Amino acid sequence: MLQNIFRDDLKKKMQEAVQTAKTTAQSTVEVISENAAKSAENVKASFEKKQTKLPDAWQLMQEGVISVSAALKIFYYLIAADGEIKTEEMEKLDSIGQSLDPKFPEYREHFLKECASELQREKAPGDDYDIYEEAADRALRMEIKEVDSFLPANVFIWNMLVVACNDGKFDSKERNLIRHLVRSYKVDYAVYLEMESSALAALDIETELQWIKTTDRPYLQIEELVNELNNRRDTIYRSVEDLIAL
Amino acid sequence: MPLPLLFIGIAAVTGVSGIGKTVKAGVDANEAKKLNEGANQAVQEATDMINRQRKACGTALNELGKEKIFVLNHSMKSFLDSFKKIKNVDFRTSDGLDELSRMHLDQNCFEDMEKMVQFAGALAGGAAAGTAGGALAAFGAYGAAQALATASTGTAIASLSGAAATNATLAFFGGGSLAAGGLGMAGGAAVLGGLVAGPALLIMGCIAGAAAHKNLEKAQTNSLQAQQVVEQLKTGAKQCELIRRRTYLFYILLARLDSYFLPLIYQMEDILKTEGDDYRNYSSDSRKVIASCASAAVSIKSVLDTAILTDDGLLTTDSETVIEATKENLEKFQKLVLEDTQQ
Repeated sequence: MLQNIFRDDLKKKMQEAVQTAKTTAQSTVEVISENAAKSAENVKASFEKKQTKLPDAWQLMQEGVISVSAALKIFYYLIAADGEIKTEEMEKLDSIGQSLDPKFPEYREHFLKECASELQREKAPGDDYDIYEEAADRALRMEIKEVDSFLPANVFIWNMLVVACNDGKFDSKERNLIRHLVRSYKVDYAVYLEMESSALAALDIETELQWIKTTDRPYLQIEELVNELNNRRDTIYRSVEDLIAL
Repeated sequence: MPLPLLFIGIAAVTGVSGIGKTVKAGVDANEAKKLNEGANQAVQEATDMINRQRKACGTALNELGKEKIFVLNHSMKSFLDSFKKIKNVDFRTSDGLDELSRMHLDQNCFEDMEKMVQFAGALAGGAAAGTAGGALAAFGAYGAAQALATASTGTAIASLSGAAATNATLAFFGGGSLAAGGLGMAGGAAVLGGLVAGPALLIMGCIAGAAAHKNLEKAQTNSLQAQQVVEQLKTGAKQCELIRRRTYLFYILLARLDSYFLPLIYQMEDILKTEGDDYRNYSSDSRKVIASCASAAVSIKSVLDTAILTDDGLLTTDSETVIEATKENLEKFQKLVLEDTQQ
């Protein structure tokens, strides 16, 4: 009974989230996060109101959603997976953390320490990649101790791609970790590959934009190309929005 | 939006024809009302869904059409302008090219590219003047060679717009059917490979006007018919989704290929300035740049040449094959760039 209440309620909220995404006119990755945040807030408020029993990790997976606290941990493991956490990656994590949970800055320091110690927990020579995957699995199995917010799996996966590509490259360990999550959540693999292609295209366009500004070609020639590249990037983001929302 | 208008039109006529019908005594009007309302709601939701998918698909095809024109008018034109100045080109003598050198740029291929560039030039004029209409979506959906065959350069926009209006699927996405053939053509023609055909639309009209049907038996029949229509609309919406996704994959591939192509073109232009126009005198690195540039051009041509849709509005198998082949080529270009960066 409680499971049904949870499922029906969650479905309704997810539909609302999808509707929000459909009606939005902006075409940026941040918007996707914002929409997800709104839907997550809705679900959270609903739990508080109805005092529904908290779902377990298995239920969340069945519903294709991930708790925000688990998602944030996995974002951390993702940026750590290539062996170095760069400033821009940490900034992106802060930005996502704040958009998913307004209280994130309050527990940010504790959160970072906790994540770092999780990665140290079973560190042994040779299991270079495995520690990240295992830490992510532990985050997925994490017991939900208080009313949390939730993120649809495909939005979570796209945000993982954004975080992974934020330093200008897409490392094989980052790719492996994301694909592991795609399999865990049974996200349609074709949809994932399209998201991955979109992220790589956005990365290539970004590189091209950086390059073109350093060339010695006349400004008018460059300006037209820069405008076109910006348009391509926007179009690609819109295609991802369609992929998620429609 | 011709097709939604068609829905409303049929619904209105059916509603009018229902007025004045007697309501039999003893009928559970309340249940009939509930059934009708449920049927209406289901059909309305499915209609809204297919309309959203239709619109998004039309946007995707337009964007691909625009991108194809831009690539042809800029990168491809610059490539051809520079490449044809180089004499004695022989890629067999370029070391370390391996796979890339196998993508030959022969005379026929070169001539095809020139024709495409000319054609895109004519289309771009119309696009800038806002007269391209359905032509952009048609150029997105068709292979460039196919579009060339459809239209002579002088009438590129008119011919492609005409093709877009008379092809039921493109008319469905771009909204050209009313202007071209009116309700009869759109209602009778198979849309999306026959998924949303005339009869289904007529049934839908009956359901949409079902407020007049207070007879329980009729309401039950309506409800069943509504389910069938909803299924058809869902299948149509799914087909729109698949076309949109394939279109954006082409868009992405073209954008990525162009991001490798343009820097190579600039390098080729610089080589022409510094090392002259005789390929035999070029350094090994410069030969590699020219050959890579030609390979990128051939790869882009194959994307431009491939039609996404058949005349029946179904996805072509060629488009699937080209996606896989292009992904492999992209990896080779990536490797090449990485090698250059490391040097």
